[in-house]
Amino acid sequence: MQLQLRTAAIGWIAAVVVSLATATPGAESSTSSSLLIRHLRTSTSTLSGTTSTVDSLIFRDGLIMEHINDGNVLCWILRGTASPEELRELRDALAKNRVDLQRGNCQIKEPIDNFHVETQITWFGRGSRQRTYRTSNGAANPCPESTVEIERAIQSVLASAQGEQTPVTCPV
Amino acid sequence: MKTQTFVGYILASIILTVSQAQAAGQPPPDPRSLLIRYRVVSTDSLTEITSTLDAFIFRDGLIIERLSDDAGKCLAVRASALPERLSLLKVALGVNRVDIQEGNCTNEPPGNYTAMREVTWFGRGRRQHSYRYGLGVSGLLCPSEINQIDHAITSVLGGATDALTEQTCP
Repeated sequence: MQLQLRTAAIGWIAAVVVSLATATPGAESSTSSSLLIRHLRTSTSTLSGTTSTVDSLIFRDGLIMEHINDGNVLCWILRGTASPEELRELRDALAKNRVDLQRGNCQIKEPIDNFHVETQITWFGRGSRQRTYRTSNGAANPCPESTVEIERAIQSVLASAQGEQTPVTCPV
Repeated sequence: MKTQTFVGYILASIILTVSQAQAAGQPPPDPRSLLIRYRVVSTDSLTEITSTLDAFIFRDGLIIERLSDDAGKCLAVRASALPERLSLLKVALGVNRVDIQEGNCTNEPPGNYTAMREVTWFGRGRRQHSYRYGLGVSGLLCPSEINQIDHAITSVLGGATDALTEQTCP
């Protein structure tokens, strides 16, 4: 029993150590299965005050993982695969619009009223290169076309994801 | 008294048979579907830093982990389970009846931290079952079934290969 407990604890620590060891800055990570984009979208209803989040990870090989929390009691995990065409268009949009130089802090209009929407985009390049910027439908200055094109390309990839949503318990 | 026990046994057998029949009626799970969600929220009582690990293990061996803490660490990990450890996990889940575990017990010796663990198992169709345990959850010791499942899960996570980790904090 005592041995089992110790083994379980060691296993848990090992899992974290593996995670931390592979997070060494500067390590080459731009393989076909590495992370390309993290897209975190937070929507707050101006009527009910409810905040929902969609936290999406887009990998270079098209794998998409989404954590969806509706802000009440429902959460889902989506594992999907992006359409190859949409993924290629996203890569093109990221390069053409210089995602590595994006500044954010600007407004992208939303098609639906009564929601305050904030989006945080992180792009992952080679090694430890990455860029994070934010947009909001409540910001004062409109975003440049390059930022809008990147957002559009990301949304297209996410919309193209073929996969299954699994309901899960929401975080405590 | 004996009659009540006997009736309870019969009822339990009927319920088990019906649930097994229902599970058998479902199509086999998609190999890409979610098998286990393993969540650990731990707080170090000395530093008062709380860290959260959310690990997802899929039937085909894909592992996605999200790790974050109060100190500003946010990691996303994508990895692959070793096939033999994944097989052992599947066996451990079946042998130890993950679908009926209740949790609400502790599986660690006292220390200067608390750790709440939550296991969610995903079965055929929409079947799923969650339970919580860990240091700070309860003073009762966990049954060996929970410890064996925990060991099998941490063994899969600890032995994951091809791990690609990204810092996702801005």
